[in-house]
Amino acid sequence: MSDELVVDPRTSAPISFEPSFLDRSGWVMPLLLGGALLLAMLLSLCLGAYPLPFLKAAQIVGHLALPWVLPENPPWTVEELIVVQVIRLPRVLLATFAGLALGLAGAALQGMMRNPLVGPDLVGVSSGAAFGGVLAMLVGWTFFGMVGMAFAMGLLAMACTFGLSHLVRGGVQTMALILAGVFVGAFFTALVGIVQYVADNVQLPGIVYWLLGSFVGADKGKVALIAVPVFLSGSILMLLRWRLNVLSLSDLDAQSLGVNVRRLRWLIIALVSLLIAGQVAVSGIVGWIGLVVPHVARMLVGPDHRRVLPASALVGALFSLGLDNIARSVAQQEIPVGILSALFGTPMIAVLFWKTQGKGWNRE
Amino acid sequence: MWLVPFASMVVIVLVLLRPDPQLPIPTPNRIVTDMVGRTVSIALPFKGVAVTWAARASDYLSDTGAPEDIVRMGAVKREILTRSLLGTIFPALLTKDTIWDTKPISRGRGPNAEVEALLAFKEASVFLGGYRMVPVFERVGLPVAGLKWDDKSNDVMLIGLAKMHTAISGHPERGEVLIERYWQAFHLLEQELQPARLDSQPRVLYMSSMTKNKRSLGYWNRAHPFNVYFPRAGTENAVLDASEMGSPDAERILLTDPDLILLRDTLVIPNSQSPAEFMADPRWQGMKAVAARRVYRLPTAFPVDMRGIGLMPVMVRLMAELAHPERLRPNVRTMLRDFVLADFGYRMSEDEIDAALKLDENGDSAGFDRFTRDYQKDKS
Amino acid sequence: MSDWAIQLQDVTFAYGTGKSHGPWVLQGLDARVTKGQVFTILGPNGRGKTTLLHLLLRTVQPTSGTIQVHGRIGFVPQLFQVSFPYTVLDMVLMGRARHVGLFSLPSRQDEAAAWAALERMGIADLAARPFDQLSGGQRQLVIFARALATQAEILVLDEPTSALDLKNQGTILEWMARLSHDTGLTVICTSHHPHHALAVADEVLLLFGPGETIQGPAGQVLSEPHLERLYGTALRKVAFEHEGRTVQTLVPVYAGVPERQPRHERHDGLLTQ
Repeated sequence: MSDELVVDPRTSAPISFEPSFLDRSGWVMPLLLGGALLLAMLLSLCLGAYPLPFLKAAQIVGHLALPWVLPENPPWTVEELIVVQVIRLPRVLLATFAGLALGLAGAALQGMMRNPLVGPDLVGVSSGAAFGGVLAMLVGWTFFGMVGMAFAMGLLAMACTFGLSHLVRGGVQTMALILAGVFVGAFFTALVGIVQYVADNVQLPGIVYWLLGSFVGADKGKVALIAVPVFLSGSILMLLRWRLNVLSLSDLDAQSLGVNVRRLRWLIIALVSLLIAGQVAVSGIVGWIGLVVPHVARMLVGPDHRRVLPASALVGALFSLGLDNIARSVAQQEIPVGILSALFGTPMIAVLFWKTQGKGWNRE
Repeated sequence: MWLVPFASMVVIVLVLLRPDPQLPIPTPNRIVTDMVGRTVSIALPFKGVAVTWAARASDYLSDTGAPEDIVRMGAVKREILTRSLLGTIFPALLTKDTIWDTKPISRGRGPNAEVEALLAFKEASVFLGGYRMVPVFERVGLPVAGLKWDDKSNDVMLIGLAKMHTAISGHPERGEVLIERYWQAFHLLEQELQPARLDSQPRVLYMSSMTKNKRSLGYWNRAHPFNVYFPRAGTENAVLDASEMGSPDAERILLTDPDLILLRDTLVIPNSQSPAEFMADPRWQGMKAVAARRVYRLPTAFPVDMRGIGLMPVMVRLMAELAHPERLRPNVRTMLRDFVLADFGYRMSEDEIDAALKLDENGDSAGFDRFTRDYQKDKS
Repeated sequence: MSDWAIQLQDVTFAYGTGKSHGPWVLQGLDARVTKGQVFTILGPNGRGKTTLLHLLLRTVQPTSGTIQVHGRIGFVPQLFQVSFPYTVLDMVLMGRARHVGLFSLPSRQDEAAAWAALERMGIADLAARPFDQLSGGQRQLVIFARALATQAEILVLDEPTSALDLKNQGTILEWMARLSHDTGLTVICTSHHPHHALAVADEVLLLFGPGETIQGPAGQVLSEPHLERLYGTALRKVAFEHEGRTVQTLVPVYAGVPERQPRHERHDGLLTQ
């Protein structure tokens, strides 16, 4: 690329507005991704030990979603209704919402930290939330007590990461941030280990399996546990999504454009912590999705956070739903989703790393 | 536009606000109270019991003596049963393949993952399962009798199991008989042993000797439910620790330095050291019990596959006789034969009793000859 | 209505707070920027150029003294790279942040303002291009457009010509002069190049050190003795005719460089020693 100005400043002839490809996809992508997600959810409802054909599953969900009373003599058996409504739907929703939360959190974190190489598990917030979660399990708190504790500890971990990276050399810097995230993550993982050590034999297997990350044991309560934080903090994040563009410039730059950088950053940190707390409370640490998915979203809709945030949420949901389907159908024994996400996520991020080197990744 | 997918998510979540569908309560039915204290409605005619995770088919078998009740067995391996006393008493169980087809209730996947398979499984009238999985079954309205394993006293657990198992199989009177005999056996032992008048109570180490790999050395500490049996046998648990610690190291075992050592049965712990190997192991040479050759293998019959209320008194009697040979007449063989005959209508041969008591493995151990079939004849 | 855009009175600044503050960066600084002028701040590294910009942007507060600003400031930072490959339009749109509510997206009006700014800078055809694939000069123009989109009355530029090649330096200088003369914007910039100041600035502020400053019209203040004192190296002011107009510029002498030995011209035309 030549380092020459293309335009003569003296002649500023008006140029007609031409919508770019991305502008045209303004309605294509949301419908495409949303449709894919709905279809994937329906297909996931047909997956499992109880035989249930696709059309019947769709029929049942259709009836359930409409605000009318179920028919007196339904064309389905009670068992089939139970399978869809009580067993599979909560699980599908759990996987979907965990993916939404991770995708949103990842995109918001990457934008806020101006660094495409961070994810909720890399800045320590997942470990912090996990520590809060096991602590809550130890003292016997459940439901929103657990989310609250996970939120508090996740926030603490994020604050530690930021504090530490500031100590290194005033200002938020890429390498310092990643290293600080690793330190803080390791520290909270050690705290989780201590809780595991202290926990008695009855609690231990539950804690260990939960930590591996899994959607096993989905029910209404768990769906509420993650749906509330996702809707709450997700909708605020969605409203803030254009601000993320501005925040992703330098501090000074964003400040000079009239953004209260400090306040906005802490707001986003709190929202991300809440998202991750909800996700960790229902499914333990599920790594890598939050790191990989925003990249995929950016490939689909470009870098503008107005589109990246929702797209990343939907791609995250698709990803997590797909992993969960693999987890519960491929092997004889159910594989924890946390293991699968690392198994699929790390090669993907390696490829992305190689493909996009020199595009804002390797520079300060 | 981006709002559309998220709005549809909201609609789908609202589906969960609908009341959960429930399987109808079967009629006619048999109402049973399980160990957790719930009422379970079991459809009649009785089709049988599916034994799932954390429940033992062997417990149900020994409590009820009704092998025909069991339609699925999850938690007992076929080869373990083959080598056990129950396998000898109920040989038909071993050959009935459908019982062992554990696909819907296999151990590994757990009830959460397999709740759909359970729903599709229609061959049993009731499931047996640990009480932690009761919520999973209840969520879909499947009849489940919950078991509780965390009582501090084994008495409470055995009695609860016996009551529940016999009620499920429709013969609660059998449970009452078993409970009565259980208490009576301990009463008789107390009369004969007079534990209150003992000058010394030998210290017994009861351990699972998974020691060939030199790692896992589980023992029964004072928090274990079986701890209640030590005083009844006129003994003291050599382990002072009452925490929930599972695996002590070798030094901790050495520190207990008991008067006698009971090694658990080999059925579920295939790598275990035999008494001879244990006594030859250089690690244990300093122990009093090893010097006195008072290291024993516990009989096959218990506690593994017949740890139910029926034969537990025989195990305690055996422990008492090993600890106080001078105060007690040899009665273990007779008790075993009589109890098995009473419970299952099965007459054990002398060879079967020898095998059950593990005479072969205990040949090198001091004082075990009192359990041989000719012991009294030699004396007289 | 006063004719000044920015007024600094007795401004003193040191990093750190309380008694443990660092050395004074600025001391008793009085300065005044007239509306619609190009105002250049000159000084070697570490004399407080950047600090002064930060004070104007209110990202730091003066230890004592007052800073009055009439009008909205639009900031053009030094050439920077973005972490995400935003399009040029996205970048310019960000200039509207002050006009968009915290929880809203930019409206059609905001987009129109961004387009208007792009067109005013004559780079509307770049709108869909990724910002990070542009040349340095193009990027600087995009940031100018972004500052225009903020509807600023005062442009504050941090070393706008550094990291650019000669041609692009000229273009940026042209734009600074045009924006100030044609539309009445006040343009404040820092620079390392006194000849750039001489070319476009109406007023110049020289920062010799804490408490030592000179402000005045470019033609007067940019004198040889002043500059020699400022930079510690000799400069000559030269004037010549070019295409019918008198051009004044400053040339460094580089007296420390030893005089070069005459070179012999080889027959193949290449120089050799």
